[in-house]
Order: sequence, then structure tokens, then C-alpha cells
Amino acid sequence: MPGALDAVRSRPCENELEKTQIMPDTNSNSEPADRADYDVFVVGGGINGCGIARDAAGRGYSVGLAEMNDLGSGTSSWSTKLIHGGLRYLEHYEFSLVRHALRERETLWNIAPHIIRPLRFVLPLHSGLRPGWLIRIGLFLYDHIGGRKKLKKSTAIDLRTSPLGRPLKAEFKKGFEYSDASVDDVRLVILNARDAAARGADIIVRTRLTAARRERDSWSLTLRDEESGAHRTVTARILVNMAGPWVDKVIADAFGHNGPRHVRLVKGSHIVTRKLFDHDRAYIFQNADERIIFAIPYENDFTLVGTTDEDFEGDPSDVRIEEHEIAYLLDAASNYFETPLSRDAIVWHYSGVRSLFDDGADEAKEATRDYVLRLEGGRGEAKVLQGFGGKLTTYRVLAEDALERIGQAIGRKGGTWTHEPPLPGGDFPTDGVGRLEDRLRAECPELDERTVRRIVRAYGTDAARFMRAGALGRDFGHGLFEAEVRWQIENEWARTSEDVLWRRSKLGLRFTDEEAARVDAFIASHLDGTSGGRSWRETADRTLHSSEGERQRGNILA
Amino acid sequence: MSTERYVIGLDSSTQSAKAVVLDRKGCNVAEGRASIPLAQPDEAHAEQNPEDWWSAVKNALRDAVKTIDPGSIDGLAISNQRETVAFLDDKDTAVYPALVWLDCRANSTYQSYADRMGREWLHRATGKPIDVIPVIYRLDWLRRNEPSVLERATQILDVQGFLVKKLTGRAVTSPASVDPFGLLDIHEMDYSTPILNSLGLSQEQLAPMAMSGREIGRVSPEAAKKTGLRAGTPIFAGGGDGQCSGLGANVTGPGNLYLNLGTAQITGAHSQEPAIGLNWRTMTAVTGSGYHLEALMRAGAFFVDWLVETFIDESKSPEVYIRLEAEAEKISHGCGGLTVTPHILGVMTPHWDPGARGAFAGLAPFHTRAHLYRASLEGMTAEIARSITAMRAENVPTDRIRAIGGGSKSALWRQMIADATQLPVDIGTTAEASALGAGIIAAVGAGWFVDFAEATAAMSHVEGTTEPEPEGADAWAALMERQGHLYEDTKRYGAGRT
Repeated sequence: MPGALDAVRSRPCENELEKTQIMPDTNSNSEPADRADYDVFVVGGGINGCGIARDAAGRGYSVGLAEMNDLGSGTSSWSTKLIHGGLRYLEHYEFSLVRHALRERETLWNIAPHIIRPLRFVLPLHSGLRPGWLIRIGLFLYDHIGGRKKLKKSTAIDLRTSPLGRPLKAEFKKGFEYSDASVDDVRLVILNARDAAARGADIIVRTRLTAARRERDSWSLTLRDEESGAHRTVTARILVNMAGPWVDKVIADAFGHNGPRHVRLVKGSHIVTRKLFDHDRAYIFQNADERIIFAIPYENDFTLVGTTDEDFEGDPSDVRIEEHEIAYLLDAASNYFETPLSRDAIVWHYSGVRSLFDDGADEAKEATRDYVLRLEGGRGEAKVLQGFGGKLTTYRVLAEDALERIGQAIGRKGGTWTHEPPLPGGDFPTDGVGRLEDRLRAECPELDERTVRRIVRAYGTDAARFMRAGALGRDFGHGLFEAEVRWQIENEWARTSEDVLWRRSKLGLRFTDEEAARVDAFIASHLDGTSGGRSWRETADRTLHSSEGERQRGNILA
Repeated sequence: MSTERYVIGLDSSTQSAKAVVLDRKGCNVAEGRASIPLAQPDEAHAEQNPEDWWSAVKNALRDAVKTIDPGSIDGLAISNQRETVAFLDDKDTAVYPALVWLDCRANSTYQSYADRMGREWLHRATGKPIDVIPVIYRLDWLRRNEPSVLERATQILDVQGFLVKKLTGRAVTSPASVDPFGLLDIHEMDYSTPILNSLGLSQEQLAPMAMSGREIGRVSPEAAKKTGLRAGTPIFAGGGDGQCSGLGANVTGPGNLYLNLGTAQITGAHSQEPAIGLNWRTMTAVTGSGYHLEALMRAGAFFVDWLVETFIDESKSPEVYIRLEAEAEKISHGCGGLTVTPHILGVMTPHWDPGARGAFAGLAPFHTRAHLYRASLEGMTAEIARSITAMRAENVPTDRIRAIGGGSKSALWRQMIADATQLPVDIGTTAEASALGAGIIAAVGAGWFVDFAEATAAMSHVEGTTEPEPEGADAWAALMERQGHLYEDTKRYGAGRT
């Protein structure tokens, strides 16, 4: 790509030309001498990108974020959906990672009590695998090193007498119970994006960075709207590359050359089965290969079993569960459950790739989950901050670290702040979910119990803003009403039924194709109508060139 | 070839290395020992050459496995002298003498370091009351006086870390060995960043840590040749000798206390929480599931030996002790008002006054040498019993005491301790509780037992028990009260005071 290689060099004349084409930034409180549209431009609308956008916007930087697909559609939505210290990371002596993660559990629970719920895990002892003493040490550390306040501490349980032992084979006699938390992973991304937007950030979805050029101390960034094909150029003082599995690709595409390879892609697949047990605890099973497998109550009627862990070479946009992974998960769970799991119990499965910093670890399960941030760029040159690795639980801490680096590169603004103010809808106490449910029940008595719980645990106090008596609108079935879809379109960047049914909710588990098509039809009619006023809409209006765009579909359904 | 399997508890203490080969019952089937030279050029300095630790270990191991098939050894764990630190460069060459825990060159600087860090913060973070012994104060002394040492030392290792490097090629240690240094934040179980920063150290200069009982390496072919061990023998992370001896004395969970009546005296209890107080220092347990609260008397058996040698009989022969013990038994409780504080080496818990001096108060014409002896045991007993009372006040369970060390041979002293604390006092069978504790860690690591409790139940034994006599309780309460005032009353006679 000779043209793109040229683009690496500074070409001030062309830059001037392009600068005249972009709209002035309405939100800039940067230095008078600086005429960049954005202080900070983030590539990647996953949890880390959105977390950084929120933190930066809250500190007073002007922020843009481009996501090539839907928010959270890459890695963030394919997680095991846990906010956890990572008991197993203790085995690899990653005390500091675990400590930060444990601390974060309660911090995040406090700022997002709707989408984060404490979850008790049952860990059966398995003779021949990790000995009891080692697990006891791990749980002791778990209870002690992370500043636990509200979460319950670990206890030993007798599986022979406890109802928690009933779904398991009789050979499992002893176990432990400990606390972690579950999270709605996509909603965590969405809520960060919403709060970033509320604090002035431009969140630009379905838009890809196609070229990045250094113009002395700022960046000229070419963006392509993936729906319309329109290109536009924006300038920014620092580029933040949080593209997850695509982090190396973003650099390669935008700079037109391959840099050193930093990421190691590790694939993780999950299966969702019909409910395997009746209580509200999750199981953590040790497997003979020293890995662990979770079986977690999921969306009321299901159980989530995962994950696998294997190196992945290939296109991260096209990742699918493989037969041997399904067999592995079925086997791992069947080792523990009294009733063996068969293939026909599976109702859904999903796969994603984690991007870990390549630290040369021998096996996928040992590659470090801790994140690495790298600030690159010479003296007087515009900088790029690249992020590798990380996990859901540490996104907020990662963002704080990123802001520290950003401050070094373009000058400091504000201090750390994200540990207290709640995420949108999370402005209620951690024990207040029941009261919000009561309120919603009273307001909309027609909602079934499952829907009441789902709505409150997705939107928190925001539910009251759109779930209004007599104003729910069309009923799409399974507890999905027009009011919610509108809210997602107008406030959460939803553009397809997939965004609504598989990301901002998991109602897709219950919807037929025809039912889903009705949601798509509604969204299309709604988008053609009088939306506007939304940041992504404004973004689209800035279009300079246009060509036929191709919509990227996810890869959820195998 | 015998099918019996063994583990080795390797105790690298201040004066010697002891390698003890143990079977599944904790029986000592073979052992080797070798002494380690200690240089004490003056009162303030105590130094060793780390290579001497390794020489002693090589000799001790070679002797221990002389009659044992090395292939029958399932693993080894190390118990180490605690506040002793080695400084090495990349080539593993010492750039400075190892500073032994006895070294008090930081006497003139440790208070100001504590002030700089914030005394309360430092005590809370490390669990260690402000005292010259933790290694951080000597590191701070080096930073002020010999700054190049900390720059040249790319590896700053505790004794375990050093020996593991020699045995396996890679230095790995455990929180239970690093904790005595004062470098750990015991609440986080990790190196304390503020403390590292204050000393200008980076974590790269320190060994990574694994919880005691985890495999941290295997004996290299080179080390195998030098030690007589089989190459590939697993090394499990061990810990400091104090905590190891606690484990050897069956302290694996709440309730059991251990009492090391050695040269220095330790009263240790298990606590689930990192309780902070002046009545003890808080130390990470080797079981990984709690802490040891350690009350400390710097002059324990040392004080008794000094008394006997100085005032009673220079020969210190066993007969002298037997005769004294018999005479002292006949003297009634309280020694007719003779009261003793044993602080001839200063006092640690609960006053933390290195300049304190010992005292004999209330002397009368009827007092004999046997009175001096008995009153000394009574004074030390009162110190022990008060620290246990303080632990109880923190809701630390105290059910029974396991006495180890030379002093535990005295039936008179054991009875005093049982009566003063109103707890049964068990006598341990092994003279080498630290090596036994290390062996227990290796046995757990090797998978012999499901946990530390099962391992100690199988490997740590009791020879007999001294039951408390309930009628003694009130008299002891009065004596403890009286003896407790003596430190404050004589404080002004401490070293360097006018």
C-alpha cells in the first residue's frame, strides 16, 4: 500500500485542506493555540474504549469515539459476565491483578447496582485436583486482600447435606462457597458510553478508522461510516487505540504498515443450556486440565457454561464455537452434575476472542490478563496510546491509568473521579433493587415478573423514564415493548434487532425469526422518521462523501 | 529399595543449617547439620556471607541423604532465619555482606524512617510495631549511608529466596519469608508500593512470591551433584522459622498457641484477621490462611542462662539446673515479694523499648539463689500470660499451649505457665520444630495430606500435658499485676537515660 505508506509522513498542505472540511468542535475547551476537533479520540467501543471515553469526558477533555460495529459487539459481549477477582489468577501469583480486581468488585457494584449483582459461587472439592488447602488459601486471600466490605465472606459447605450439593454427583462431598458478582457485560459498555455522551463525548458507532496521519502534534483521522460508506476527517491531539482483538489491525490499516505484533488472541466459547439447577448460586468446576469452568444461572430459565480457552489465529470477526469446544464444555460439566449434559440441552452458544498482551506465556490459560498500556510517539509528535489485554472487572482502573498517560501526553485535566458517581440508572443503593421493582410493578401492572426483574436490572432508575403506565406502545412479545426499543434507539445507539435482542437484552433467546423481523421493521421505520438530536445522528450529518455501505452483521447464531 | 517416602525440612537458622528427613508420621529418620559463621565485629553489626548459608545447606543435605535413597524424597521446603537479607548482583555475587537479624546498625535511624512513613500507617500496613529488627530499617540505613549498595544489588533476597536460587536456578520466595522484612502490606499480601518507593527499590530487585506449599522449582542437576539430592526433586515454598516452628507445634488454626521457650521467647497465636497491636507483631502464617500474632521476649532462656552463669554456677551443668529446680519448687508462689523483669536485652512486646534494662525488686535477707531463679521464671511467666490475656481481649481463641524449645523441659516453668494462663500446656516431642514445620509444608505440597491440619495431626506429636490448677489462678492474677508495674517503675534506669 504505497499510498498509505506516504500517509505516515507529515503532509501539512493536505492537512490544511482537510482541516477546512471538518466542522468546528463545539465542545472544545482546549488551549486556544490548539485547533484539533478532539483532545482525545478513541478507537473501539468496547468496555475499555467506552470506559476511557467516559473518564476523559468527565475530566473536561473533548472526546470522540469510533466503533466500527455496535458498542460492545467485539469482545465485551462474549464474556462470562462476571465481575470477579479471578480466583484462578492467584495460582499464577498474580496477586496484584487479583487485589485490584477484588477492590473493583465493590466499587463497580456501588456505581452500577442495577446491572451488577453479587453472586455466590460453589466450588466442589475434587479429589486428585487442586487440594483443599490450596483452595482454602486462595479463598482466604480472596476474603482478605481486596478490602471486602459488603460482599459475604467464604464458607465451607457440606455438599452431602446442603441443597447445593443435590445437583451434583454423590462423590462431591465437600466444597466452599464464596462471593463474586455477575454483570450484564454489554450494558456496562452502553452505560459507560451513555455517560460519556452525557458529559460531551461524541460516540460514533458503525464507523471505522481507515487512516491516521500525524500532523506534527496532532492526528488527522479518516473515518468511514460503515452504513453509508461516507468518509470524513477529524483531528485529535491523542489517538487511543482500544480496538481489542483488532488493536494491531487498526494500526496496520490506519498507518498502512504492520507494526510489531502485540496481541495474542485467545478464544473463549460458552454454551447456554436449559436450566440445570434450581438455586441461585453458580458453580465453579475444576477441570482435569487445571482450568476451571463456570455454570451460572442465566436469564432465568437457562444455565451459562463456559469458557474454553485456546489460542486463536484468524479473523476475530469470524469466530465460532467448534465441535471439540462443545464436547469439552459438556464433558467438564458432566463430570460434576448428577445428570450428564447432552448436546440437545444446548439452546445457544457464543464465542469471542480476548486480546491479551503477548508476554510469551506457554499456554493460553497462563497468558496474563492484566492489561498493558503503551504510549507511543516521539518527542513533539502526536502520541498514540494502545491498550492490550484487561478484563471487564478492571476496565475502570484501566481507564484511570490510561488518563494518566493521556495527561502526560497532552496535559493534565481533572483527577480521578469515576469511583463514585453512578453510571446512568445506577443512582440507588445496592440493596434498592427490590424497591425499584415494586415501583415498576405498580406503574405497569401488565408486565410479568420476569420482565419487571429484567427491566430494573438493565435500566435501574432510568426504567421510570420510559416504562410509563399506558405508554408502553407496541408489544413485540416476551416482555419487549415499543417504549424500551425507542429508548434503546434514542439513547443507546441501537440500530438493528440484533442490537436490541442480543446485546442490550438477551431476549433473542426467546424470539423467533419472525418476531425479530418485526422488531427490525419497527426500528427501520423509526430511524427513517423523526429521530435526530442524537450524537450518532449528528455524526452522520457530517458526512462528506458517500458510497454504498455494507452492514456488518455479528456472528452470534451459528 | 524401600517403598517408604520422605520429605525434607531444611532449617537454615542463624547459626546452622539442619536438614531433617521425615516420614509420614513426622519421625526423624535421618538428619544432617552444619554450622554457619557469624561475624559480629562490634555490638551493632552482625553479618554473614550468603555463600556460607549455601555451604552449610550443601553439607547438611549431603549428610541427611547419605543413608536414604534420594529417589524416595518427595520434596523439600525451607524454614529460614527471618530478618536477614542478602545483596547480590546479576552474577549472583554478593555486593555487600548479608545483614543478619541481630544487626542493629539502624538503631540511630529507624525512628526517623518510621516518622517519615507515618508510624501508625507503617505499623498497620506491615503489622510490625516500630522496632529496629525489620529489614526495612536497615535498607533505609543503607539508602542513607551506602546508597550504592541498593543500586548495585539487582537481587535483594531473604534466606529462602537465596537458597531456592541455588537449588533450582531461580529465586522464588514466599510471603511468609518476606513478611518479617516489613516489605509486605499484610492486608494485601503483596510488596507494599509506598514502602518500596520510600527505599528507592523496584519490585524487580525482589524475588517473586508463592504461597507456602506451592511448588516453586525443582532441584537442578548442578545442585543435585552438590547436595546428594535427586535432580528434579520438587522444592515447595516454605517460610520464616518462627512461623514454621508454629506449624511444627500444631498451630494451623484458631485455638492453639505455641510457646517457644528458646533463647528468645515467642508466644504465638493464630488469628484469622490481621489484628494490629503493641502486644504482638503480626506475621503472615505459612498455612496461607491467617496470621500469627507473636509476642516476643528478647531474652528468654538467654536470661535464665545469664542468671545461672553469673550468680549461681559458672559451669551451667545440667545438675545445676536440676538442683535449682528442686530448690525453687519448695519456695512458695510469689517468692516473698521478689519481682523480676527479664529485659536485659531491651523489651519488645508490649513496650517496644530497646533501651530497657532488667530489674530485681523487693530483695530481702531471706532471698536465696533459688529465689532469684524462681522469681525469674515467675517474671517471664507473667510476661507470657499478659500477652495471652491481650490476645484474648482481641477475641483471638486461646484453647491450649504447645511448649517447645529448651525451657519447655522445666516442669516447674510449665506448671507456672499453665496456672498463670489457666490453659493446658502440651510438650512437643521434637527439638526441631522449625525443621518439622518445613517438613510439614513439603508433605502438604507433595500431596501427602489434604491440608495443613491433617498434616500436623499426623506429623506433630505431644509427649505429655501439664494441666492448670484452678486454685492457682487468683494468686497469679495478683503476681501478674505486681510484676506488670515493674517495667514502668524502673523505666528511668534504661540505657542512656539519666
